[in-house]
Amino acid sequence: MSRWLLRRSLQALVTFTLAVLLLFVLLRVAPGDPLSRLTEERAVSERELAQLRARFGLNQPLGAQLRAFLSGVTRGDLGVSIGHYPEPVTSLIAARLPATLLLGGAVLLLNFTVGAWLGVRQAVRRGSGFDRWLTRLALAAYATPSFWLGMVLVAFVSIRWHLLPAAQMSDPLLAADAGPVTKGLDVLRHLVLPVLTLSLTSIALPLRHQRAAMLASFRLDFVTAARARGITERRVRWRHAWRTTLVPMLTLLGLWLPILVSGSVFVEAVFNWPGLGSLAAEAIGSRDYPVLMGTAMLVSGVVVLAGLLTDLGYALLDPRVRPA
Amino acid sequence: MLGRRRLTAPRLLAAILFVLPSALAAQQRASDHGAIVIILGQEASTPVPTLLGTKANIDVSDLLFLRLARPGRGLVTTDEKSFEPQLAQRWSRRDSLTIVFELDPRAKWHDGVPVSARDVVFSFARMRDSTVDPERALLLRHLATVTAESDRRVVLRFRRAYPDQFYDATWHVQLLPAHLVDTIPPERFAASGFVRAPVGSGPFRWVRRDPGRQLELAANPGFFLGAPKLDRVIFLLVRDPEAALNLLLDGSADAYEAVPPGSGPPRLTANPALRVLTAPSFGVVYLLFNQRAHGDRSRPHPILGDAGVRRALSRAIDRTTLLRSAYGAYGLGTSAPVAQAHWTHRFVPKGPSYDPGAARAELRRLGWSDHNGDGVLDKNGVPLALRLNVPTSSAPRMAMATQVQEQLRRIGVRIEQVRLEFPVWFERRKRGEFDVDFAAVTMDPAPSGIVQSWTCAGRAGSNFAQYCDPAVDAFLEKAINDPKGGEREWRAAYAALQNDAPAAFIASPPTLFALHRRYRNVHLRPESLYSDLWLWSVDPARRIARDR
Repeated sequence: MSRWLLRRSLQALVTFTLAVLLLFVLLRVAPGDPLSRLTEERAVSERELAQLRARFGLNQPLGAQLRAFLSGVTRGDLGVSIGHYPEPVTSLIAARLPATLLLGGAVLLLNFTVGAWLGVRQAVRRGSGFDRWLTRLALAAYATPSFWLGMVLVAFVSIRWHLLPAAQMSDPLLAADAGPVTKGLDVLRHLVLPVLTLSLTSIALPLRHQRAAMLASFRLDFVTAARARGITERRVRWRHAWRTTLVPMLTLLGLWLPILVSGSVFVEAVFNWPGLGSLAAEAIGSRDYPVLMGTAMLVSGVVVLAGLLTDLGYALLDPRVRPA
Repeated sequence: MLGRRRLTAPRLLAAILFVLPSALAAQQRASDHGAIVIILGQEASTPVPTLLGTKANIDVSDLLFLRLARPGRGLVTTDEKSFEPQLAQRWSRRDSLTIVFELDPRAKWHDGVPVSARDVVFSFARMRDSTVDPERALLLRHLATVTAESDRRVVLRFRRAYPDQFYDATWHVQLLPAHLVDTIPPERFAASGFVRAPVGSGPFRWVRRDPGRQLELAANPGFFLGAPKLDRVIFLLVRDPEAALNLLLDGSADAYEAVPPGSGPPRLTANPALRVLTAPSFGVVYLLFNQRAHGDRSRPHPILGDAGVRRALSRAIDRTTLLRSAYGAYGLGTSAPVAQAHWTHRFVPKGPSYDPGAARAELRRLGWSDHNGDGVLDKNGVPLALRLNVPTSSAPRMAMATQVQEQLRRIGVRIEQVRLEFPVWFERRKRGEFDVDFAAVTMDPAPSGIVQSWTCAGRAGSNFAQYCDPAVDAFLEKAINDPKGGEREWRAAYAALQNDAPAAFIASPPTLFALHRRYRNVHLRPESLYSDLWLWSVDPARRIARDR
């Protein structure tokens, strides 16, 4: 097991390194001047542009830029943002990561608890009105663009009914020295609409997966045998049938884990949520290479790590796939 | 006995009459105080002189740091008598090259240290250092020396006399506190503690910045020109205009300076708490005609190298329709590289009127006809076909580009729209990889800034179309540098530019500013929207929870 884990970890490391190198080259090859945003609102002379290029190392050959970048990475230094000069990229990511983790984590939690529970309920009541209507609603929500749903929710819940804030992660006037409870409640108020938007438009996936997996497990012999032994239906459902659905659900969770850090660009824009998605989108729009590399590396890292963790999860959950 | 005598009725009445008015006045003073939440579309990460560059940084910096003086409300940059004192209480001239500034003795930095001549000398030295801010150093190239004659007196000596001399002496430099900054090497300044918590001399002082989210300032009660009425100023970072409008509509924010001209005003004015104000801007929108071949600056442009073609194209563009479609009721036109806020705007001659018939006739006279009947004019086998680069970041320009394409199609010109992401658009513009470029610039408040993009000398800088006409240069030289340069010179310069048609000048769109109705004494200055914020107050009858 430990040799398997070591080999799998090395594979992940190689994948990650290749992804980073590819990202670095692709970004530099893509057209667009990273200094464009700095010169958007005023005329800038060639002399100043040359000075700015030298400041960010953009006047160096690609090989030298790559060497400098890799040398920085080994020291934990991802460079300085061009658009947010003089902020280091690591500080920018560190400042945005909590917001993204909070939003992504809340959506993931909601989808994989409520979604899974509803999926089980649907499987149990297969063919009923509840099953049919929930399927229709979930698929309709899944087909709805998240940014549109977000805008509709804001228009009614925030602007018309004044129930919840329209955007932001916290009240801008909240005192800096407010207590943790006050701050926590304030963030919760601001979190409701973005989470609802993202969750409504994506819950269909775990829900449908869970329903299908449960229906498949209900047909398995050991479940029939359990029922024949007189075990209560509730126990059969959760202790026997549901446990076998964990592997396919784990696969789905593994695929979703990167969302935790990549954020949702559109929803973050609608709700002005200060997460990594909007930071990355802004960096793409302005060719802020250091920030783009930083966010892309983080997402690549989590994708690779999620794959590794999923494989590990399989091994722990299912003895049949456990390496010898 | 003594106490009882003090409380006799007449004494009590006198005390009430004396105390009550001042108490009421105090209450009145307090009741028109409040807070403001302003939405910014960009992050103000370095709102400190020498590190500015983006408008957001400048907006915040203008509240923290003052200049010696600022242009008067007419923004006549050549009239030093119209300038308003800021850190300089008064000024005088020893001769045409020497200006003496007397600093206001009441002026203090936010840490309580008085503003002194040493600060002025230090700040000018920093700004004139071309390794610190090459752009400003260039703008201050005519300044010879800055010397302190006493703690409060500074003498600026120029190399030559010219009309914008006083403007250059005051506008380009916001003062930095020498006692806090002079030990920080310029190359370490951006990452210094001072930039993370700047200390200025302006009406508001620094409170905190939450990167990626917001920035907070507080009123400087000891501000020597008068204590601000707005106790808290919060700048919220909101990049998406829709999200910005939503924050205004749900009452979370009070002001936003980039209201989208199409959808914004109707939505905002439907809310009784909000109003939309306009302020003339220094922005100019135009179709820039490349003088050199697409991507090859060694050859003249095969079509647009001819001023006759450029004039014809300019005449075939219906500006009224373009303005209405892109800016609704808020479109303001211009027919020269001069913005509505420039004091010389009134000297701009009426540009060529929209006349597609005359444009077609002019092109026919120049040899352009539709020989093969494909609807596109041609000459010597070359079709009159041009590529128009448009940045996708600008909704008004995207909307106008389609209309320009259609308007020019009617006179037999084929326009291919090339829609580009902003960084790619900028890169191509810089390399001259365009035939026509849909450009928008924010100009310097001084009309002399025109030289950067519209003279032969500007070709090394932001004159991306490589436009060069020595005759136009001569007119501009006279208007800008002649101490008597006035209306006649500017008119002649603008007329020469119009005749050469290096671009089809379309609009000088105003700033559309959404604001909560509770604010009073609101004045938006085109060169610095918030520099009068310290004069704003809140209508006591309309105060809301965050004002208390």
